[in-house]
Parts: sequence; structure tokens; C-alpha cells
Amino acid sequence: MVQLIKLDINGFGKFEKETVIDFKSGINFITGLNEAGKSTVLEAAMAAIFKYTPSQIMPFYCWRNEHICRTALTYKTDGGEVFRIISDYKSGKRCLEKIERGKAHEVATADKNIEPILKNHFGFDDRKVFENTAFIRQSQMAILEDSSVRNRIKDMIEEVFAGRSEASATKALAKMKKIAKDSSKEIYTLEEECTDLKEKLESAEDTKESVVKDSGDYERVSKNLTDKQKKMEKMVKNKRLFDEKKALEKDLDNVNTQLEQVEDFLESVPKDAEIQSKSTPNKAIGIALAAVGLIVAIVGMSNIIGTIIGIIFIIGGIFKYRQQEKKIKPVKKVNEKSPEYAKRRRELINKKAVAERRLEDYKLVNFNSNDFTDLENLEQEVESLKERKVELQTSIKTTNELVDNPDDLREQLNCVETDIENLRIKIEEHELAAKFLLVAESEVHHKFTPAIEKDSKPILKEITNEKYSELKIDENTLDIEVKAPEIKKYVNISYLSQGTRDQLYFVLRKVMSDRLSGNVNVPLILDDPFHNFDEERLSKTMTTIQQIAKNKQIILISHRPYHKEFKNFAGNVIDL
Amino acid sequence: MRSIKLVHTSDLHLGMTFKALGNKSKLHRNDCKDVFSKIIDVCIKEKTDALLIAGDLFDSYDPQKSLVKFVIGEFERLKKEKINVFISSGNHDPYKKGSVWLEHRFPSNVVVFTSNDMEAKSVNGLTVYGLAYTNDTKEPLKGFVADNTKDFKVGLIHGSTTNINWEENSEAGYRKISKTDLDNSKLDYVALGHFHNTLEIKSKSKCFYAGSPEPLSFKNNKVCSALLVAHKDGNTSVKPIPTNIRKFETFTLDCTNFEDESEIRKVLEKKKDENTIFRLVLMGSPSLNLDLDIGSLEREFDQKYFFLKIVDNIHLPENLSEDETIRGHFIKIVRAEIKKEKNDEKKKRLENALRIGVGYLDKKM
Repeated sequence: MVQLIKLDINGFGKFEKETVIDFKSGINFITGLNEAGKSTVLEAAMAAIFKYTPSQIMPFYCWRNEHICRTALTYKTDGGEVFRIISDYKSGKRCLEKIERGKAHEVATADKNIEPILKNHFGFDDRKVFENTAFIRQSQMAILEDSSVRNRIKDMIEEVFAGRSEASATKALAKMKKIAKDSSKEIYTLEEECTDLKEKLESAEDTKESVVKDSGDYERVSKNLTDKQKKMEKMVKNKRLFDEKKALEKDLDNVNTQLEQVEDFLESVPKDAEIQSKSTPNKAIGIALAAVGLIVAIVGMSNIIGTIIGIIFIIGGIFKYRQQEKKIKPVKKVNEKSPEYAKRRRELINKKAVAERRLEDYKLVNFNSNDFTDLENLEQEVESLKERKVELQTSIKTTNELVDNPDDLREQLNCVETDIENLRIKIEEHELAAKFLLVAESEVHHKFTPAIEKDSKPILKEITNEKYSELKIDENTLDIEVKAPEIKKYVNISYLSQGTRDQLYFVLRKVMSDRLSGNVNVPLILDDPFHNFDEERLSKTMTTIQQIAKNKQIILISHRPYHKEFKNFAGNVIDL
Repeated sequence: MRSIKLVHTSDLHLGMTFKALGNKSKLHRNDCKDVFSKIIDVCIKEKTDALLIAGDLFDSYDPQKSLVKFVIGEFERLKKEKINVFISSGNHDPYKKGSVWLEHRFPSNVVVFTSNDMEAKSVNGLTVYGLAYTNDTKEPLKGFVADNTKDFKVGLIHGSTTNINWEENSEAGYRKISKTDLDNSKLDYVALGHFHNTLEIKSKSKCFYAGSPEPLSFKNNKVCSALLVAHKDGNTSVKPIPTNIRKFETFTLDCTNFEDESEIRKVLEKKKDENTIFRLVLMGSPSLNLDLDIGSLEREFDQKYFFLKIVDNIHLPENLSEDETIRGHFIKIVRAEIKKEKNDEKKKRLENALRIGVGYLDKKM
């Protein structure tokens, strides 16, 4: 039986000055008003056994006693040896001493040496696990009271087994499996995203290829277009020159023709006189003919033929006369315009010279109209190339705008794949944790449930005045059944009365703390768990506690004066 | 000798994919381009005679067309200012069939060295000796001596000097340059590339690695520069001009005995910088009470960094309580598995499984 003997507190929490608390075997009742330091006593004992980190100890420093923060806990081990653990929190020094015949011998000073010894003495090296096993708090009993919720004792067993308050291996396993499942779902979604991205990437790469092809085409078309345009421009220019030359030549021909005419006319001007002079004989011939005709007509009055001949002569004479008259008229006009024609001639000569000079410039322009038969085709070709160029340009632009860049997609894909990989790791880790937790759970259940069953029976029998002596704990479900004497059958404990369940609870807690501490009989600490109990329930519980205290040190904390309410309740009352 | 002004850079690795930067890769790729433009600005502002690029301008021998177009555009800017560009190719953008150097026409002010041996190109009092990168084994300066002229003589080489310590670099042996080769070269300045940090190599010739002007990995220094080389009145000075937009930083935090994330948060808060690519390596053995959720920490601080990566290198504490509870048994079983496991990665999986299991039992998860 492990027993706390003495706790020396100095500069710790409520205890600014040195305070010594003596413990005894059996029930130790720490009482006092609120804020008297009841809980601090427990904290000081825990800090001594389980080394607190600086951040854990900080809240207990006293601002009015800032140089000292110290505890010394003297205890007796299961084997009956007496030790003292001294902790100086300001310097961080600890010392474990063994006390023999009133004399202290230093056993260890380094944490790494002290800790295994303390674990050996108290069964635990984790404060929370220790508290979860050896402390009974008000909240736990309050749950017990709630009869509408079944199997609270089972929860308690699970909790103590698990090692942490309110923990449960079963619940932890369920959560881990859920996380793994959720992550799998997440992976599924991400994998779909992956497939999408891969498809996109593929099409983007195809598009990129088509863009590359389009770009190639575009360049070829552009080059072709430029070449053709150049060729066309040249041809157009040549044609212009050719046309100009042709026009000039035509002009020159015109000028030449005009000039010839003018010169012809000018040449004809001096001959006018001849025509004039000749006109008289014509007239004369006409008159003569007419006269002859008249004479013949008169002479031949009797003879119709003579008359006719005479008339013919007259007509011929008149005709001849008239003919001469006509010829004379234009010549007269030419004569009048002669200087004007000379001027026109000079002009035409000048014009001809100019045209010839200009033609000189076109000396090298040697085309014939056949050379330009392609022009129309070329123009058409250039037009269609222009259209194709715009088409390709638009196609490249739109595909570039619409389709993602393959590099970006590859990076997105990379991110998603990393996410998937991380999730896979998460699942793997959760599954590993679940696997080993399941092993640990069944190991503990298998190892302890039969022992707990065995240990509980005699105590339960004693506490219940032999009413209940048989109980069964299911190794897998932790369901507890007690043999009801009335019907001689095992019944689930939820059918038992509140009082019996309370009794069973304390019995199981005692047995479990003994077993889980590695068969070290550690003190049971009751942190005011009966606060809400009515008189009857409290009275019954006190009896149970007294029974348990026969073979276990009990430390009970409460501001309620149990020691006054129940006779001989506590062997040791510590009133703070 | 007339006075000469040069800008020396190298290892820009334009077009590089930064796999470790996830969705920020593209942004950082653009940073590298911006820094390249910045260097062009420096050349113009300083009215330099030439820009020297000592290899690995591009990350691959056939970079994207748009990228090449951009680079050519930047070179055109220098052409307008009559600034020449000399380029030696590097191991990432080697001179070979189908490479950017043969597939694209660079402006007339750009000289790309095409020979496998040192070749001289002279302009206006400056002679640049360079060579194309065609294989990994050639020793560029072996037996090389610069011509005895009055020009300012510069060597432009992508390679590894043998007198520096190339830690963890698989490319360390590429194109060896010995100190003797440097000493005998009779070059006035040797512009080196391949190593990603600015570094002076002591030899008879003035000799520098320019380093990447924008950091590419955590091996880069916090400040990256281009080098302004000025030769005046017989003196050659080298001045680093800081160019980098981002910086890579690694911080190692010993988390031993940490009970919660507060210290980790403090570091993340203190180091925050929107231009930093920050890698926080967590070491040591924090308490099992530490409920470390790296993913949510990264998400929480993501906006405060250009990129944040937290690396979990923590170990389990030694003094875990293997008591008789399920918790204790669980710890005992998993630790035994960890001890058996040889593979480090699997070991880490198991350690995390232990933290997860204990976390659920301790109600932290």
C-alpha cells in the first residue's frame, strides 16, 4: 500500500509560507473554505511525483514570496520503504532521498534517474494517466447519477483503460476510421479533378500542336503573301509603265497624223492659184458648151435630136460652170487659214518632240501585253492569302485565349497530385494508428478484464453484505453483468439500484487502479465527488469508502464537513 | 586601354518550373523574367559596353517560343542603345541541333559563341573569349592563353572551378576549370556561370561567378545580384547590383518539449514577408501534447509569405510512458514497430501514427 506521509509546501500557490501536511493511512479528509488551498495540496503532490514543466508550474509561483517555490513529499512505497522527493521549482533542482531510521540518503538528483524510480513507486509516469486512474471527481459521479443514460460504469472502465479522461479507444478508432474514409472520398474527388486536368492537358497539348501547325502555316502564308504582293506590285508597276508607253505611242501617232495632215494642207496652199486660173477655162468651157448647146438647140429646132443635143450641151455647160464654182470656195478658206496652220504645225512639231523625249524614258520598257495576263490571277491569289492569314491569326489568337497553357495545367496537375499523395499518407497513418490501437485495446482488455473480475468479487461481496458476489465483464464489449440473487441470473448492471451501482463503481475503480498501476496499491483521491448526493446515498457511499480504505489510502477533499456529519468517518482531518 | 563597362550575369534559368513552389511556380517563373528585364535596364542606365551571359540563360535548350520572343525583345532594347550581348551556352541550354541558339535569329548585337573551343570576338577595345556548351567534360580553359593585345580581355565560360567546395551538387564536375588554367589565361576578367551564388574565385585574373540574379532554390543566398564590371585607368572593379525580387529562406526550429504551437506561430509571425519563400524545418522531440497540424498552419500563414513550406522533422520524445493503459500499450506497440522499421519514410509514418493515436486518446483531435 502506497501511502503519502507528509507534504511540505513552501511558496506554492495558496501556501506562501511553509506549510506541512501530515497524511495517515485510511481516510484523509482535507477540508476548508473555498480558496483555502485544498486543490493546491493535490497539485503540489502531483508536481512532486510528476515533474511539471516551467509553464505548468508558473501559475503556482507566489508573487509575495518570489524567491521560493518548493515542495517535499514523503511517502511510503508498496514495499514499506520511505522516500522523500524534494523539488525546488525556482532552481529546477530535484532530489530523491531514501529515509532509513530517521536519516535521509540521497538516491538520485537527475530527472532521468528519478523518474524511473518514481514510476516504480507510483505505477505511472504520466500525471494525466495517473489522475485518470486514481482520481474520482465530481463530474464523474454526477454522470453516474443520471440513470437515463445506461452503462455509465462501462464508460468509466473504457476511460480508465484508455488512460485519459473522457477518452475511449473505441471512439478513437471510430474517429480514425472516419478520417480515413473522408480522406478516401476526398482523394476520389481529387482523382476526378486529376482526370479532368489530364484530359485538359492532352487537349491543350493537341491544341498547342495545332497552334504550332497554325503558326507554321501562318508564317508560310505570310511569307507567300509578302512574296506574291511584291510580285504583284512589280507587275502592276510594269503594267502602268507599259500602259503609259502605249498611251505615249498612241499620242505620238496622233500627233504625226495631224502633222501630216497639216503639212499636206500647207503643201496644198500654193496650188490654189493654179486652180483659180484653171477655173476660168472651166467657166469658159461651161459657157461655151452652154452657148454651143443653145446654138445647136436653136439650129436644130426642126430636128428633135439637134434640140436634145443642144439641151445636153447646155446642161453640160451649166454643170461645168457650176463645178468650177465649188472648187474655188474651199481653197479660198485654206488660203484664209494658212498662218493658223503654220502655227498648228509648229505646235505639233513641239508636241512630237516632247512625246519622243518622254518615250525615250521608256526605252527600257519592253513588255508586251501577254506579260500581264497573270495579273488578275495574282490579284486573286493575294486576296485569298490575305483572307487565310486573317483566318489563321484569329484561330491562333482564339485557341491561345481559350485553351490553358499546358505548362500551367501541368503545374495544376502537379499540385493536385501532391494533395492526393498527402492524403494517401494521412490515410496510411490513420490506418496504422487504428491498427495498433485495436491491438492495444484487445491486449489490455484481454489482460485485465479477467483480473478485474476476479479482484472485484470478494470486495463487492463484502460491501454488499454478500448480496452480490458474482459478476462478469465481457472482454470485448466491457458489458458488466451481476448475478441477481433473487432470480439467480446475471443481469446487466443498468437494472441495479443507484446505491448498488455506486458501490460497484468504487469497487471497480479501486481494483482497476491497483491493476493498471502495475499492481501498485496507489492512494485513491476523491475530489469532492459526493457533492450532490442526498443523505441516504452519501451515507451508503461513505460506508463503501470506509471499506475500501481498509486496504488503500484515501484522500478526500471537500468543503462539506463530512467529519462532523459522519461519526468516525475520517481517521485524519486536515482543516486548512 | 579605354574604359570599359560590363554587366555580368548567368544562370537565369528562364522558363524553369519550380516544382516545390506548387501553384506559385508560374509567378516565380515570371519573377525571373522581370529580373532579366531589370538587368537590361541596368545595362542601359549604366551605359555599358556589353552584357555578358555566362550560360543557362534558359532552363532548357528549347524554351517556349513566347519566352524566346521576350528575350529577343529585351536584346532589341540593348540594340537600340548600341549595347552588345555575349552569350556562352550552359549545361541547361547547350548549343546543339534544335536548340534555341540555332532555331532562332537573335538581333545583330547578340553574339552567341558557337565553337567548342575558346573563340575571340572583338568590338571597340573589348575582346570576349567564349565557347559553346556542347558537352559536360570539356575543360574550357585548358591550355588557353589570351592574345597579347591592348583590348580589355574577358573570358565568358560556363563551368566549375575546381578549388571551391561544391556541396551536394551532382553537376559539380561539369566543365572543370583549374586554378592554374585561370592563372595562365592572361584574361583581365573571367565571367563565370554554373554556380548559383555570387562568388569571387581568387586567381591572377579577376574572376567571378555572377550567380543567379533571382534565387532558384533554398541554396541561394538571400541577396542575388548581377555584377557591374568597370575597367578604368588600368583598374578593374566589380560591383554587385542586387536584383532579386524574392528570397529563399530556411529556418530550423528545435521543438523539443513544446507543448503547443505557440512558439512555432511566433516564428512564423516574426519571419513573415510576402517576398519570402520560407521553409520552416521543425526538429527535436516535442511533447505528445503538441497537436501539430502542419496543413492548417501553412494555410493560416500562407498569405503572409510568397510561399510557405513547413517541414516536419520532429521525433518522438524519449520518455514516453508505456504504462498498462491502452494508451501505454499503444505507445509500446508502435515504438516497437518504429524500432524494427529500417526505412526512414516508413519510420516517419509510424511516428505520425503514434502521434495520431495518442492525439485521439488525449482528445486533442
